[in-house]
Amino acid sequence: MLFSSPEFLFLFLPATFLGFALVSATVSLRAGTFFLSAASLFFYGYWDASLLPLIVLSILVNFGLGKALFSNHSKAILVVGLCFNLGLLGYFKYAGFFVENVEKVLGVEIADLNIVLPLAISFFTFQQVAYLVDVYKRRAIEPDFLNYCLFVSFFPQLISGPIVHHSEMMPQFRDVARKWFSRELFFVAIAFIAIGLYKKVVLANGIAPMADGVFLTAQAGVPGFWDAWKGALAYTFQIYFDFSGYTDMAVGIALLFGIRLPMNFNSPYKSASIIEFWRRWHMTLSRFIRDYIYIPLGGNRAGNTRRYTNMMLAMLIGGLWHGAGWTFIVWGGLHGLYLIINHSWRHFRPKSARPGLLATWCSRVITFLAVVVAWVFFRADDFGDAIRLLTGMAGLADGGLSVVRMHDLLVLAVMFLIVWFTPNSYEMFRSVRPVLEPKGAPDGDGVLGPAVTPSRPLLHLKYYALTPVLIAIGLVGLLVVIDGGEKSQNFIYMIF
Amino acid sequence: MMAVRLVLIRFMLIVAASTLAIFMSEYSVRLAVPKYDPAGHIAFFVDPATGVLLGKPNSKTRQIKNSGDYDVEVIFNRHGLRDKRDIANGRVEDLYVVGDSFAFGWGVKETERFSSVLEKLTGREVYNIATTANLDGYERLLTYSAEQGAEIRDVVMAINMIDDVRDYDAILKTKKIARQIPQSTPEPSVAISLQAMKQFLLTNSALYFLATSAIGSIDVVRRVLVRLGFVKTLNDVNGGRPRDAEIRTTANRILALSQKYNLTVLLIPSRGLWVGGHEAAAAAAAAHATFSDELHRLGITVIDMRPVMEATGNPMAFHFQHDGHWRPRGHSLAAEVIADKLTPRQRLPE
Repeated sequence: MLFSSPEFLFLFLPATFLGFALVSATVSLRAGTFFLSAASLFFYGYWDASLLPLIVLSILVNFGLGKALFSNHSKAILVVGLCFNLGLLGYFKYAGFFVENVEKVLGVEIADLNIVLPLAISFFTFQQVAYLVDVYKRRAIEPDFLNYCLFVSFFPQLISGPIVHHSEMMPQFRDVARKWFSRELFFVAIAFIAIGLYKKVVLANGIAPMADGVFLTAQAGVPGFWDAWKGALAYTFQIYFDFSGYTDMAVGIALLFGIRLPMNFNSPYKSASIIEFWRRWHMTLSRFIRDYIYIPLGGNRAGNTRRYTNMMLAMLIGGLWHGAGWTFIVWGGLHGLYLIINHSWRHFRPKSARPGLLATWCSRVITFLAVVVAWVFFRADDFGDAIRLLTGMAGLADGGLSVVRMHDLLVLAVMFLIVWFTPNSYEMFRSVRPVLEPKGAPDGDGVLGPAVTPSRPLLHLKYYALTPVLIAIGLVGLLVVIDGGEKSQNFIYMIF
Repeated sequence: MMAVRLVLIRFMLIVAASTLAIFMSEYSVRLAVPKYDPAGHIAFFVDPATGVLLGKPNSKTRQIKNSGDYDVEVIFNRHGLRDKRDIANGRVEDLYVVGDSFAFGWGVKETERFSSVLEKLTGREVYNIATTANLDGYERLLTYSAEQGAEIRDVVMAINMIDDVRDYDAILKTKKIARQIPQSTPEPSVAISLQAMKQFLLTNSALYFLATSAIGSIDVVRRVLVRLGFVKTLNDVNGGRPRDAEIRTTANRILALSQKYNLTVLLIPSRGLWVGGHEAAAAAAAAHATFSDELHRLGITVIDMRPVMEATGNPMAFHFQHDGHWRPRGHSLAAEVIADKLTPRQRLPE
């Protein structure tokens, strides 16, 4: 049941919202939490009921281990917990990849593992690993089972993130006196859902055939210069709108229940450096990698060599988290390399220099191009495809340039306009703080800057301008969903 | 004063935002569902040199119905005809199919048309030169094909009872008179008919196409729209009950053609025989019988699809659910009947 499927949009979501509202209003918000947990588990089980026991087992074991850690501060319990979680992830996600590589190296056939990857295992495993580590480090407050269950299974973020942290979700679940519904919040929630749906079914799915066609061509030979760039750029935009669309929908759906999710996506292609890119793209994964991999490895505490080694290791693991394949590892490695170069550059750059407009745009374009090159490895089925596409992008194809279609150029130009020049959903609705922003921004107000509460007439004017556009894109999104019926396309991040 | 200004600003904002929203929606649909982009939809034009109705030469388009009945690719060859064969290679022993949208294969794949199926059944090369013309156009299409190099002798002409049987002499006379009288500028019509508006949107707006397609796919909504008269059903049949004068002129036209070619008429019955009111059906049946008899009387070979379709017990099953054209099974049936009826001379290559 995808967020962009008719059964989700017309049955599950309205039914869950109404059920939650009814239970919360007539019984209690705590009962509403119970209802939401049950609905979330149903949502997970709807994909494949046979996988439901896995997530339930994972919740039970981790909750039990957490409880044991609260009462007995034992490293052994933490190690058991880590082994359990990483063991599950290792078995389901990486065993096949490992065996396949060992077979290749040794030239023998070991086993034909045909393991089905359980949906969202990477997401709920990371969330619970973070929880256990924080319990061990005395940085967590003991939750009750119901809240813990919802923390892991909360359906808006279950399938493709954000990777939520217990410290930001538990207080919200615990607060049974919170005002979970307001007209303004409801409007913003619907707006987020409409924007997200539009990004997914119109923009991401609309440009997908352009990318697919070129990557398919690359399996047979080196595509021409323009074709290669067209494919790489199309995928760059596809994954952007796919992930951004999912994230917006997740934020909107969570807001319907009065829950704010952490910010996960903040116009990453506007970044003027790779460091900034990783503060804007999949922000909760970056946070996890920083807090639970990079810093435990030593972070930047033992000199630059160690720092860069740690950085590379963290990014390689980040790549591997996305998928059990060498192309993902190379993608992670490339970003590790980019980060090292970026940090080294900052080391030599004069501290006082404040980049001008031209310098900022040059940096933005260079960062964007670096990201595009890395996406080629991320999308390609194997190295051969990726190298052939990059060869085409370098203009080394036998056929040379390929034919430029005005329609393709126009589509890509519109995509550039959107990702570089339009405000993102959070910026549009910053007055209601739709997401939990990362802490520690220099001004203490998060990455979006201080909350702006415009005077009422101005606020209304903004909504007068926004409402017709939001209604239109929401309707177009819904019409595409109804028309597509069963042919809903998966979200890219679902397979991670 | 301030309040008036604010209202004005709000109004202008809504108008501007709504305009932007409609524009965005239209182009969004063209991106997300390119098959609904009207630019890629099938269109015909009258070749100014020959007066023949043709498709755009060497083009690939889609034929798609917003009711979900069909969505097929249509490829026109260099002559503007929907045929993978090149008419320039047509020889005297080959068979030529001409007709309107039925023979053209409206809504079905090129390989599913009765001409293609007939080719498989008989082993004889069959050229399809149908577009969406009427009887006047068929003659032009045959002449056009001959000019391209085809040697035409055996022709199967599909005559559609709904709109092929007309008083062509009167039409010609009207055209001549119209040419002699200087045209005055017509008064602009204030009332735009719903049908005309729907047709305009259908051929110009991807958003409208998507909206009607999506809404139509919800059965309950569709039924309501039918009841309100916004959507027509197969029960609404215009034509198919020609007057005697129309029958006579059409038959004479066909007779004239049969003197130039070895002609077989495939008579496509109006669905008005089986749907709609009882009176209308009786009128359609009478017209069908009169026309068929007239053709026989003139000595023209006729393959009448009516008895064959009725013999199956459910003649409407050969039509699409929401479109009056034949489904692939209608084409298959027609091909089988034609193959059976062709004389040995027509069946075997000489």
